[in-house]
Amino acid sequence: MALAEARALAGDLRALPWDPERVARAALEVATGLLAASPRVAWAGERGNEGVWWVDAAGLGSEPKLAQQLCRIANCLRFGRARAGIADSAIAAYAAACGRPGTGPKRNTATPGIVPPGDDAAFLAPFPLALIAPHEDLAETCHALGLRIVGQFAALDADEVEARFGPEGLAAHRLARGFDTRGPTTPRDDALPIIACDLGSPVATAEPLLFVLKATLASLGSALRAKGLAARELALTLTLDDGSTAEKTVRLARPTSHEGVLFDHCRAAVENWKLAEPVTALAVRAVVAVPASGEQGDLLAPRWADPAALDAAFDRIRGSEGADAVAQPLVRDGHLPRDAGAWRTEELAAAGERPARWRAEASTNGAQPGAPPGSREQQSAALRLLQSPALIRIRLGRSGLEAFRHGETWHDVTTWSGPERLAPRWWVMDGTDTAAHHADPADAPSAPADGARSGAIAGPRDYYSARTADGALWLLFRAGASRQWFVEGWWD
Amino acid sequence: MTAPNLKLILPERLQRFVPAARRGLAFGIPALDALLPLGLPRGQITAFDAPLGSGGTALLLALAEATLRADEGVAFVDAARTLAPQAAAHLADLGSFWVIRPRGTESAWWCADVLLRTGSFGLVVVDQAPAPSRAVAVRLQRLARDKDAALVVRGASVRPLSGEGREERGDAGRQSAASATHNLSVFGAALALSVRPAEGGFIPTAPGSGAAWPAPRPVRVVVEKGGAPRAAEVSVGAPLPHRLCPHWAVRDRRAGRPGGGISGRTQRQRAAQPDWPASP
Repeated sequence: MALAEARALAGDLRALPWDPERVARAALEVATGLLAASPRVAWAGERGNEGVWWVDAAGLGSEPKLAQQLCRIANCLRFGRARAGIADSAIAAYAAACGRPGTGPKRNTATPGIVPPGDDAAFLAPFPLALIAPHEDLAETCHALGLRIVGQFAALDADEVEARFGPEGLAAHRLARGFDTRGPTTPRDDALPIIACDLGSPVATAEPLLFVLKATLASLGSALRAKGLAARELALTLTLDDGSTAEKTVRLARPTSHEGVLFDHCRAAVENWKLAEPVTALAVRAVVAVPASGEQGDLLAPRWADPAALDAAFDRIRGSEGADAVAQPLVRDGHLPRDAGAWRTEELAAAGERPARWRAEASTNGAQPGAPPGSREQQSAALRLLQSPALIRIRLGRSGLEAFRHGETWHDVTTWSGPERLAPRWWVMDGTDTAAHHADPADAPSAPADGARSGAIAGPRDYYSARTADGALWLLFRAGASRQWFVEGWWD
Repeated sequence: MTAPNLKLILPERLQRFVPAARRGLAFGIPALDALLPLGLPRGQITAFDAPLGSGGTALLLALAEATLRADEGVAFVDAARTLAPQAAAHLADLGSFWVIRPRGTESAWWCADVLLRTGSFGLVVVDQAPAPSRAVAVRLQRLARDKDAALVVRGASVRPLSGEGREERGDAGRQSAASATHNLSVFGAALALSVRPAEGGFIPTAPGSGAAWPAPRPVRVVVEKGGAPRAAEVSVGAPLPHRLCPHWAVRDRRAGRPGGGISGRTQRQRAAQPDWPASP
């Protein structure tokens, strides 16, 4: 009805602008009242359907009685002309509340429209096509094709409707066949949990803070599990004695809700936190959360532990001992002893599958290639390398190398082998500084020990293996540039 | 997997969960496994006394390999950061093998504590760390017991074999037993293993020959569990030079090797060291 027509009918009509907030408040009032009849009530809230509420009627006994109860409640809330319809789908219930076509809108609220189970499509068939609110193109096309009622549209092939009208046409087609996803749903609380704790008195040391943090994270873990979530990133907020706050974000290696793992991750952050004032309150919140994966352990594995716990442990070690503290060994194609292997320190999932390229690399390089397959009678001595070559003094005799001095000890050499001249990787260095030109920074030796400068070990090296009188086998070399002798490691 | 296959496989695999049948960790070395029929004990500390250069690392890596082959994780805390990656690279492909390289040797015990708490490792090796305090040792032992893991500790208090070590060789058995008893008391260890070069095993056959490559040598492993020590000999092979083809089937044609060419220092060797300093 147009406003002019309404004013013609009622001279004292007062026109007010549309107020969505007022409508929402009224809808909330009605929904709250309807909760007395059913535990699940939802306001449709769509434009044009502001006066529609969806009520779950499943499992509530007699449907006619329920419909009457709903209408009575609406009456009490000043909605005297409220109507109720009950069906399997929301669209059929809406149609049932409106009344059968040709009979006009239902006037008698005492006799609600109830659609028998499974009859939604048949019930909807005689209704005009406007019931399913097709979009403009679809409505025009249907009108041109002579489709006037829902049943005619529902008889069309779904694939053809989708091909011609896209997803919107398919949605209308599903409504016409009585499939409607609308309806009352359990309200979702999408807010991520925040657990806050007041410490009572200011705390200046980490220990009491960690004690409280552990309990706080346990609560946070419970809240996350209740929502079926696992935290990916946490935020620790500390309120200081002067009223200011300090916040730190902790990113977890693997989503988890396990309080022990959460605590392991957060402990390092708290222990290394430099604060100007004592702490008076603590809050922990999940900044990023993902659905809990529910990872299943291997029943037949002799040992299985939470992978997140291992990741957390590695994170703690990396945080305390450096990023290269956790490593896996890898063979590399290098001709110098120090270049023949590398430590892979990139942060990989601890228990996850390693990248295929890595496996391939490892198997291609084939560790211990010198060992005959299956032979376990003889062990291959393992090479130990000093972090940087150490300068030594040697004593030569008639047969060559007789002894060398490492630290304060003279080692008598009983047999030796060499030399084997090897040049460092000249193609990646300028020939002066070996230490500064390693491709992998984690691999690069630090400054040579015993005061030797890095320049002293530049250039080609003559490598020797020397067995000392005590049985140890040493790896020595003589630097070509300086003609100084170094010990690089030993076999153990 | 089909039901008949499952019936075949399940009893064998489930057997591992029977507590009575659950044994310790094996070395995968017949001589050592015969010495330790129940394996390296889980839930306990094992003191491993091996001077640097004695082949201790080779035995520890053999233990790690056998553990990995049994589908259990291994953590190797390399406190001195001297383990060459190529020596242990083959283990990374066998399973969950992680090497922890702390900044300082003192952190090794803290790292072992953190690793044991995860329960992910059947074997944690602490290599070349200073002796822990009694309290730390007790805590680690309890953690190992709770997580059913074996903790092997190779102390750094043992100095590298040096010239002074020659006195030890004359009485290797007695020294080893004394050292093992010492380790049992220091670490609260249930088992102590001492590795020493066997009598005569470290003397090269061709002394003074620059061309001779050191032969494999036997090492003597003494096991001390509180009773009479028992010993076994294990051969630790000398590594081949990294520049030669390392395949085991390829003959080593260098001078001084069995079936090889000329022995002793030859002109060819001299040519390889043109600037060899003159003898004093």
